[in-house]
Amino acid sequence: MKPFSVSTKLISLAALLLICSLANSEPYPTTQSSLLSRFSVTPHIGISQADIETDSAISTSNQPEFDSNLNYGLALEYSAISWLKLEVDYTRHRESETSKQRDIAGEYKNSLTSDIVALGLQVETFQYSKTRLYVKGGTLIYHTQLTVKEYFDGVYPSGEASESDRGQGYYAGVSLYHPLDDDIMFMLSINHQRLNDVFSDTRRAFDIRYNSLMLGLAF
Amino acid sequence: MNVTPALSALSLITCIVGCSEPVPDIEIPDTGVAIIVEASLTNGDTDASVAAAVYDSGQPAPMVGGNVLEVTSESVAAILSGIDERDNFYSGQIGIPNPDTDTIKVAIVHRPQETRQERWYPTEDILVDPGPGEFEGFEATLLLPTAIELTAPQPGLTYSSRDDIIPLEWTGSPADDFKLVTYNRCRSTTDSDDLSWVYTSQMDDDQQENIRIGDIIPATGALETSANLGGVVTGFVQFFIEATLSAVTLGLYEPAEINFGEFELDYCTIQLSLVRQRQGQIGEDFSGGSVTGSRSDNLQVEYRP
Repeated sequence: MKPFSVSTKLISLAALLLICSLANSEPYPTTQSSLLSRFSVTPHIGISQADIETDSAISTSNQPEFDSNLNYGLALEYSAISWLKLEVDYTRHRESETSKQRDIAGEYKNSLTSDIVALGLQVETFQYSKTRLYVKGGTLIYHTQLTVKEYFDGVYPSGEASESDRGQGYYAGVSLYHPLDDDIMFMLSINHQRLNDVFSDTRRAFDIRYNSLMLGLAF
Repeated sequence: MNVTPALSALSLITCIVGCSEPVPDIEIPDTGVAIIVEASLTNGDTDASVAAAVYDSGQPAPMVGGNVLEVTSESVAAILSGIDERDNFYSGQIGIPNPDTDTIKVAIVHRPQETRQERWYPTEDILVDPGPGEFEGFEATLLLPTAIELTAPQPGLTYSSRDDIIPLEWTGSPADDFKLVTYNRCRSTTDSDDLSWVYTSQMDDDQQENIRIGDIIPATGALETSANLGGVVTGFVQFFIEATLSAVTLGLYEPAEINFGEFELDYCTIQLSLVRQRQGQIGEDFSGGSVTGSRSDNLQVEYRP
């Protein structure tokens, strides 16, 4: 398994955007309370659909179709200026599973779980009354675990094997915020996360795409 | 030694219409491990079709967990793959550069990666391997008989009467067994469904035989056969006609009754094959079964009354 290697280009871009936005923003807060007021914490929960994109050069007859999975996590956001937020988000995608498939070795099915830490920006693009729409994007690092359960028609006991990998990718999405009162906002988010080159040190590397719908409360 | 009932049905099914003598049953012993192997090379082809099935204590023994039937010929090897409808019936193709001298070997081997090569994920990292099975290393070998070439009649001829004679002529030296196998497909003037069935007859390998159309396609009476053989058996007939017999014995062939008296026949196509067979050697680890090498030639004629 390879060590973490965060995309330096994306980090540089995010940092540049943040510096520029801060330079043009209102005066930097001088008190601890005003600084803290720029932070918000958003626990969220939702549903995701994982799709696998294999290398087209690899001939495989059994393409996986995972069922949907529950996701949950926590986002920390910093409002740099009124229309720009910096966010750090942790999302866990709970287990999603394929149906059983068969080949000459027997029957098998796969399951997948992923932990993702994302770093990115949210840019306000639309406002209606108190409701704000943000477009967001950034980079991510992941830790994913793939499991296979194999069944041998009762000739041998069935078994299970797992392997995990770490890597990086990117994400994009939109988030809608609507204040419920002075301190709490309802958040609705649609996310696309792409986990690149999973098991890249094997000849069957693949990408994972998570498309997610998330609901949360921002405090 | 008991004979599995499905196999005993072979003679009945294949000889209802005009068999000159019954096709021998393949005996599956009720103890130990048995194997059925058929390898067939059609005239003009360079690849032989190979089919095999393994039985343990008289019951079908599927090859799973990376254990698989591998066919080798000189330096070439291929894994026999499964057919969905049966859990112990495997087939494949292998190149035979020198059909008259190459020994074909079918062995049970353990290939955990090759058997999972169509999977999408990295099986080299994620694998449940139960290890080699107790049958690993069991093997059977065979040599193909001499080539056969149909020299008469001309392909594509149309016959109009059940009393017409198909004058068969062929070349080559006799081996252990010789059969006529036909795959017949008839279309009705009133029914949209085709009727398909297989006819087989043992013959003397003396390079000449006259076959009456009416022996293959009866005018009256009931024929116990399949109304629709389906893709699997049809495919076998097209590319591996002798294996049809194996398909019958292994249960792919589900009998149904055709009553020719009620069938308004429009025309029939007759895929006709002559099959020369030579028995191979079953390895000492096996308790029984059958190993057969076949060479065949085929042509198609039509019956249009």
